[in-house]
Amino acid sequence: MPLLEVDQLSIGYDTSDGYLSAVSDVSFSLEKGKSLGFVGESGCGKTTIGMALMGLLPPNGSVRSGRILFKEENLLGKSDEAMRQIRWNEIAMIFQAAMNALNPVHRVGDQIAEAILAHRPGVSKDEARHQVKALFEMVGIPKNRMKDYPHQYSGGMKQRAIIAMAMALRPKLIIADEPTTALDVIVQDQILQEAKRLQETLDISMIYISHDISVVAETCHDIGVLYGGQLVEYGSRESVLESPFHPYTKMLLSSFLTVSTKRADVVIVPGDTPNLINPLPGCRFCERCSYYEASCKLKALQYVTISPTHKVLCSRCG
Amino acid sequence: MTLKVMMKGNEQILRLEQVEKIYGPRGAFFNKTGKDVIALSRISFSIGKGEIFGLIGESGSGKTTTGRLILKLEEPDAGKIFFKDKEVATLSGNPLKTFRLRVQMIFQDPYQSLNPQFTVYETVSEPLIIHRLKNKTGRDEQVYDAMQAVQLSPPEDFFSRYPHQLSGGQRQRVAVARALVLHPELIIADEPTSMLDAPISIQIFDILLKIQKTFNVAFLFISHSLAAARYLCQRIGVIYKGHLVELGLGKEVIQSPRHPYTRALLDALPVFAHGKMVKRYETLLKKERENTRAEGCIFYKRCSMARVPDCSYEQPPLADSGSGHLVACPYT
Repeated sequence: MPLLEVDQLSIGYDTSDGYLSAVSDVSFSLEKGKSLGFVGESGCGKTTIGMALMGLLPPNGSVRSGRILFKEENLLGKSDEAMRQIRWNEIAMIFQAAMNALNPVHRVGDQIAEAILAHRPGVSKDEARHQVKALFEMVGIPKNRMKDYPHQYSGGMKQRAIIAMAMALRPKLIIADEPTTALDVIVQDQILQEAKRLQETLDISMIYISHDISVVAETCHDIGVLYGGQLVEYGSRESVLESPFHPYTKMLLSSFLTVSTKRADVVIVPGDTPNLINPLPGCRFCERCSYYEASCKLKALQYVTISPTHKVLCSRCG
Repeated sequence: MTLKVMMKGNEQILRLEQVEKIYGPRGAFFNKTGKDVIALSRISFSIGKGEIFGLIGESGSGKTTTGRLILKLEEPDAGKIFFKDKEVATLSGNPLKTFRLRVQMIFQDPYQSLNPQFTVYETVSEPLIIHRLKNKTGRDEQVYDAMQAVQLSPPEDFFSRYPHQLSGGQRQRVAVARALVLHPELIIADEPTSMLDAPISIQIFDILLKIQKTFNVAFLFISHSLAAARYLCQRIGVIYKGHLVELGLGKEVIQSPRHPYTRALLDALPVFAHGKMVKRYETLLKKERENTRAEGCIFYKRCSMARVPDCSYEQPPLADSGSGHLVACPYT
């Protein structure tokens, strides 16, 4: 039984323009100690999935259908108090730009100790401080920096502190939303290698959310490609990156610039992200797709199984 | 040889000579030690007419400061900047106005750089009104052309829209059109796609390349992305902590980087971002080296190739390492 199993999850937002369908029928699963990465353009629903797993959708957002099974229990049926117990204890999240959310007037070490004290009533202050010390060691911040304030930290160190905070209560699952987006490449590399090492040694499951396919390729066992709220391709890292089937995945890969990309290799696809207010049941990518035919837009889509570890949501690539 | 690469067989449009910018501690609330921050240290490079020149560096390296100095938003503390052989610092009156026409800017974040209360038409036509160019019909024509050059067509469909009705990619196109509408000779593009997704970035790059060809505009492309610079630029300069450490043809800087810092940048890219390039250099020290002196090479503390203590004495100057590929390191 996988640690996390998400089944036919659909999420929407009530907006002034109408009902926005942010996530449509997304299913995936995650084993203990494995990592899964979601990639896609902004607005494709990747952060919404993370927020739903945490039970932190904004007031105008709601889960329309589906199940989120965490340790075989459906999180969607849980009360607020029960979710509060699971959050941070079992599932932690590294929020987008979280390093800027450290409280500037409290010492970094104290902020992490506070998270431990709030969730573990029996723990004494001294003990919490000890745990923070161990956490700092784990994520590679020198111990003497515990008493520093956030402004004395570099961006990379703040991000390490945020990772330490996410791990403070030893959760089984960590969701990292754009964990390195604001960082320079050298720091990004250090953080990603560190996160990978921690995940392996502590046997944590990870979900990475990123618009940067190279970050996901670097860290994840499985990759899910999202477009307009649909999980258009899902499979092992090798299968998705090396033999992509969905036209959008192909476009995403061919528009990703590597340092050896030649201008002639790049395919420029016109068009923009789709409008998700009351979308048609069919494929959301059809307007930018070169394999488009009339039925794509209207007919509800079925997954095509390429291999046991690889499925594609497209009626034209069977 | 150096000159050939510096000018690319072309007329120069911009030249920086030993430009230096130092920010003092004045007004620095937390910085009570009162040390000067050297934002730029004796930077020299030139951009040819119609050339796309890339300036690559991490945050805080001084790449945005360089852009601001060129635009005369700030004055250098030492050194000179020449635009078409006229020193920018001495410009005033009408020549300054002409300079402001000829050099335009595209900012990083199209969500913040556009006035939310202006329609697309107002945004793109405003520069023409400010500079009192053309009458209404002439303005309309120029706005129309600029909109088509950035592939917002038909332009009429976009004229009356407000920024919030546009996607990120469309907003950045409007920003490009606004820069283009004055027919500048140099556009400074500061991380123009860092807020956009990969497929949309490629669209913007495509537009910039077409504009360069059609209008023979030169670009200073400021970015942290080696891959984007490689894709877009003829020549690339790599800047680290205010020092230009490497300068050469884009292909050469990326395929055979000479400076240990450039090599470290390439090493740090995720494997997937290397594409077919697999070489690793391992020039970054795991643990920083102590340096009690202030003068040494800017990369000394983190460089695995550094000679101790030779490299801790002074910052090596940018020098030709063969066929015009300049590098600020004597040991590669």
